[in-house]
Amino acid sequence: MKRGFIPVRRTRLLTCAVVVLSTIVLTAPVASAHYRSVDSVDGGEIRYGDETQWDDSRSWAVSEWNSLSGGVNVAPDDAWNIEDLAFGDYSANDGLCGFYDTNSGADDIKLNNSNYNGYSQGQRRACTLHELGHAHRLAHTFNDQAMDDCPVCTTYYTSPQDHDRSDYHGIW
Amino acid sequence: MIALSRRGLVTGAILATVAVGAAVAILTSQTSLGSPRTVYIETSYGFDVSDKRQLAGYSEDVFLGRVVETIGSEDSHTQYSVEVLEPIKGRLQGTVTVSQLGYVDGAETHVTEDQPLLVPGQEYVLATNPDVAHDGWHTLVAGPTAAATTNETNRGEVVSEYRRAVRNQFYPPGQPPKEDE
Repeated sequence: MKRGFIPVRRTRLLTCAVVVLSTIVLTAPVASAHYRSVDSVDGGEIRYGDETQWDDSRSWAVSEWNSLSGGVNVAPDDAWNIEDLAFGDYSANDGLCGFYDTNSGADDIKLNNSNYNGYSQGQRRACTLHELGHAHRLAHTFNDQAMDDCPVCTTYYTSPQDHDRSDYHGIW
Repeated sequence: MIALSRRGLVTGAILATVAVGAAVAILTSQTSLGSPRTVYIETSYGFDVSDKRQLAGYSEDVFLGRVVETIGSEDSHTQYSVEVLEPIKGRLQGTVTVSQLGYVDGAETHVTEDQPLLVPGQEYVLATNPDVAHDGWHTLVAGPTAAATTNETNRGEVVSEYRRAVRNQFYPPGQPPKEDE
């Protein structure tokens, strides 16, 4: 053996490499560009409380995400389940159609009355669909998707588009 | 058996440690382990808030101000006392209350990714609208351009940029009329 060199078993070297690579790979989905790190899903379900006046858009968004087979079941909260998500409203001229916030208790979807009052039915459905997508851990993606960061800016989508669906099925 | 140089072994060990440490840092920053953490509020915009002309068209007031102090928190928003240094659009003057989406809840800071919480003592160009629910408050418009930090070095340039935006302002296409306060 040459001076300055250390003999190492191949198996030991390979084991170390596998451990390092596995650690990196396992954390990758958490930091992925199209996914958030948290969601409102609990045991394969999102149980929601309803305090929004925008019932049509809420029920539309729920049915659209539920139509994606094999995934999360979104259903109203009841006495036998813990509320995972609360639909509610607020009013502000802040430039938003809505927002989604995670909490230690039920997470929040807040729909902005200041915009919703002036939106068409399709725009309301698009924004609420988008917010509920965040509750499924989906982050903002491309301009031609429901999860675009400006869901009602120009073109809007009232159903999950191709990339929305593939991102959804990537985790559920 | 493979013969590895000592230098190569040490280098490899350091790189592996850094890689694993970075991975663990990513994971722990997004889970609650008892230490302070940031929770991102996902905001969905009604118009292209990155366009300062649209921002100016949508905002009733655009001004250079200095945050004096945090004065309250309500419904996912934090209120600040802000000294108006120079109006750019509108006629605000004196000290006003600005309400921003985002808040601190114990060890968690809930904040939008595009707009960090205002910092007492810091100067900003702020774009606001009268608050629809609270008389005398001003709602900070969401997005990356509605709270632009300024300092002695860049203040003139940033203010000029927003003056230009105000001169060329237009109401965002597709954005419903603002709700009356």
